[in-house]
Parts: sequence; structure tokens; C-alpha cells
Amino acid sequence: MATKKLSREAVLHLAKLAGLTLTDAEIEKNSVQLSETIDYIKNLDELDTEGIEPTNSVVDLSNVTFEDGEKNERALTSEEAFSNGKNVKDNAFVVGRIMQ
Amino acid sequence: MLLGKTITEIKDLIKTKKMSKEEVFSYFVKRIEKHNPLINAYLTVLKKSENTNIDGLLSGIPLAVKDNFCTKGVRTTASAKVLDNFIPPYESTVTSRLKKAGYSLLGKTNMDAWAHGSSTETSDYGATKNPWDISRSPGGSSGGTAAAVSAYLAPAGIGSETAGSIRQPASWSGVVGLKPTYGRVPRYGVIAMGSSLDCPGPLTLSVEDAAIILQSIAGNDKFDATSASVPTEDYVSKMKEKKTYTIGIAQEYFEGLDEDIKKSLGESIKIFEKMGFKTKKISLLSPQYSISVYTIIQRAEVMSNLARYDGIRYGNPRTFFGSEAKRRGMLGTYTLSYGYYDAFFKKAQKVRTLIINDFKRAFKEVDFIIGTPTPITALKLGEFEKYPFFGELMDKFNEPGAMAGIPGISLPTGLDRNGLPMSIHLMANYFRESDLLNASYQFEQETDFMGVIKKGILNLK
Repeated sequence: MATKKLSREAVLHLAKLAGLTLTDAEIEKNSVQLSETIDYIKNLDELDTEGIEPTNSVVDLSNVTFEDGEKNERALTSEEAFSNGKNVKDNAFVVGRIMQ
Repeated sequence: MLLGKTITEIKDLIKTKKMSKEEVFSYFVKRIEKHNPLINAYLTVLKKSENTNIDGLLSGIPLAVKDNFCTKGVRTTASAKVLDNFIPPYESTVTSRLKKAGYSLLGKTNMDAWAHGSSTETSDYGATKNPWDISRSPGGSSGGTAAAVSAYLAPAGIGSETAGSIRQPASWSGVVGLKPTYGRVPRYGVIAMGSSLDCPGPLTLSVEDAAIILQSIAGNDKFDATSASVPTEDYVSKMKEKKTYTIGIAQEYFEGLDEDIKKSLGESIKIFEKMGFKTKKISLLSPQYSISVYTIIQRAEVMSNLARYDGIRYGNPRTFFGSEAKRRGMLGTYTLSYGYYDAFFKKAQKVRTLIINDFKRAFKEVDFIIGTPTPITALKLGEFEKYPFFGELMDKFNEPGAMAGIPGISLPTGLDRNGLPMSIHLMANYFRESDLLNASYQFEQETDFMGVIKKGILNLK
């Protein structure tokens, strides 16, 4: 069980990094449950992993490239690409101002 | 006439002109209209069949598809309000291969939002009910597809698994669920959860149907760099060759099982022995560690994948995220942050290597490892919310194989004391799907679990 719960500040900092907004109830719930989960996953320390390579992927990955001149079947038309945008103007997505 | 018929049987009805493709399609549409308001298996239902002229492996077969597969022109939400109004401008590789095989899309099925869960209760569109007992969960995250097949609102369907999301709902709903090797079936166009783990696969009423669907969707895809170049096999014909195998029995996969499930598993092992299979005691790393590895890696990958939802190019703003997505994103952010990365994420990646080595060693001695997909049968709706990672605990027998990327199948074996479906679980080495299906097919022929499934279907009339 949790030895200590994560502080409200720590939870809010994580939420900011993740771009998430939490309600007060969610802040409280996360501070308790995050600590519980973190306590549980510490059981990995029981295993010796000295000299073991980390696994990123279970398949042997290599770059996949197009041949020159090959048709890109994945390409969307601009009409398709903008079809789900809520605020589209002159073939561009409208976003909020960053600098005032 | 159609109730409970498998893909194989429906194909025969169409071929012998006893039923037209249109009649088959409208049969399921009517059944969905009647029963879906109670079960909530489908979020979107199509009224018109397509592809009726194609002469392929799935010609005229209507299928349910989990709502995290992009279907061009058909709303795809992943059961999340963030994507409430998302109409994909492109088709996933899995569904485009199904189209080439001549299938008809019946509808898109409910799931845990973003596939985050093992019960469909985190869906932003309400939980799916288990057709065997509507006060219970069908399992998840592919619970909508599992319930649709179990209630015969589709003859079969497509799900996806990150760790257990095909096998666990298949088990709780009393259908066959196959999780292929990672990379065997392409992920292109599947709304990503854990990119190093996600595997599309079939949920069906028979082993042969699972083989037919796998054959239609497996194989290298130039749009998915993680899809395998290993050649596919003729799964349907290879399945029917008479072979015997050695099954590994690991004590670590028998711990914490419900009494009825344990008994059913013991009986299943005896059936395999009677069929001429050998059994061998082996030892494996405890699944307890896989729970932690899975929790860390999956949530880190979840956070990376949820970063793309900005509400600008498509979908709603990030304020639409539900509690479970937030909970996962928070832990993913924590374990990836400066100062914790080595202690958690890198450590988990190293233990993942240990899990892979452990299976490789075991598969030098045996062809399959037997167990069950879940320690208990279907839970009441509402149980999951009480614990922070209950789903991970429920999927502890599926997580080791998912972390290693090996294939597994969930096969129904009867009903427990409460009349709820139970299953066994077989795992095999990388790309040994045809052997897995072969052994499963033989087991199916030897037993009568199809009879059990059909009883469940008749519950709904």
C-alpha cells in the first residue's frame, strides 16, 4: 500500500506537462492512485537486470522508404486533410495566437 | 435458419444459393435493431451492404469491427468523445484487406475509450452488457465485438489487443479470440494505444473462422514499418493437418485461479493428452512482473500517442479526455520524466528482455504453453472502477505474451457454476499461428464448446 501520496503540486505539474486539465476530484484521486501504482511497479527492483539490453520493439526494425517516383498511395487530398477541421480558412487550420 | 451459423456455414449457404448476400446482411441488421439497445455492442450501424460482387475469402460475410479501426467515410471514435465526430479520410489496412476479401461492414463496436480498460466501462458511450448476463461486463477492451459475436449480432468480428483485449473479452463472452504475433497483422489505420504492443485479430464462433479472418488480414504492409516480412501461411488448410504437439504446463500460470476455471483447465489438459499430445512441466517468470512492465511501457506509449490530439486538425479539444485516459497519461508522463526514466521506463524495457528470453527458452522444450486468459469469469459492471489498475491485474496471464509479442488464443471450454463462459489459453512461439490454430481446431473437434456458445445465443432468442 501507498507509503505516501503524491503532492497536489506534483500532480498539477504532471498534468501541465501532459496537457491535461484535472477536476479537484481527479487531482485527489490521481495523487492517491498514482502513488499506489508507483508502489506496485517497484517490484521490478527484485529482478537483476545488470548487463541486460532494453527492448524497444519485438520486431527487427529497419527504415521503410519509397522508391523514387513511386506513387504515394497514402497521400490525402487537401479537401480530405481538412475535412475534419472545425476552423479551416483558405486551406489552413486556424489556431489561437501564440504571441500577443 | 441463420442463427448461430459460422462464417464457413454462411459461405456455404450463399454458395448453394439458399440465401443471398443481401438477405444475410439484412438478417444481422434486424437482429442488431432488436437487441443492440439492450447490449450496446455497436456505436455505429450500417444499413446497406457493400462489396457484394467481390469473390473473395469473405465474400458476402458481414462483420463487426472495433471502433478503433479507421473506416473511410464511417465515423470512428475509439469510444472517446475527443473523436465524437471524426470521419476518417482513409481506410485501415485491416479493413481494406477485409474489403478486398469481399466482407461487408455491419457496424463499429463499442470498446473502452482509446482501448484503455478491460470491461468497456471506460467507454464515453456507456458500457457494453455481457449477453450471458446483462448485469455483467463482456470484458474489454474489445468488449463490443465480443458481445456482438456472442449475441450473434455478427457472425464474427475484429478486435485489437494491447495485452488481453481480444483474449479476455473472448473468454468472458464465450467466443474464440486470436491474438496474432506482434507485426503479423498491420496496425496502419488503427488508433494507436501502445505502439510496440498493439495487435489486430479476430473474435469468432469457430477456430476455422479465426483462420479465415487471419488469412484475410495477415501479411506485410508497406504502410506499417513494424509489420513483419515473414511470409504468411495457408492457415485454413494447415489447420486441418493431423499433428501432435507438446504442451508446456507452468505452475506460475495456475496461481490465483477460480476453482471452476482451475478444474476446467485440468480437464482440458486431459483432453489434449487423450488426443495424443504430450505435456511437460516447465517453469516461467512470474506474471506479477509482467503486470509492472506492462503498466509502465503501455502508459508511456499511451501518453506519446495521446499527444497528437490537439482538437485542431480533427476531433475535440483535450478537455474532452475521460478520467481513465487522464489517469494513464499522468503515469506515462511520470515514468518518462527526467529523474524517473531510468528507474522505471528503462528498467521495464530491460525486464521486457528477460520476459522474451524466458519464452524463447521455454519454446525450445515445448510447442505451446497452456493456461487461462483470465483468473475469473465475467465480473459485475462497476467492479473495475474501484481499483487503479484492476484491468492489468485481470490480464496478468495475457501480459507476458503481449510484452514478448508472441501469439495466443482463447478457446471456450464450458460454463462455470453461475452459467458464465470459461476458456483456456494457448500461447505459441513467434509466427506459429498455423500450429496454434491446428491444435485449437483439433481441440474443438474433440469437444463441443460450439454447443455451449449456441446456448448463450439462444438466451437472446
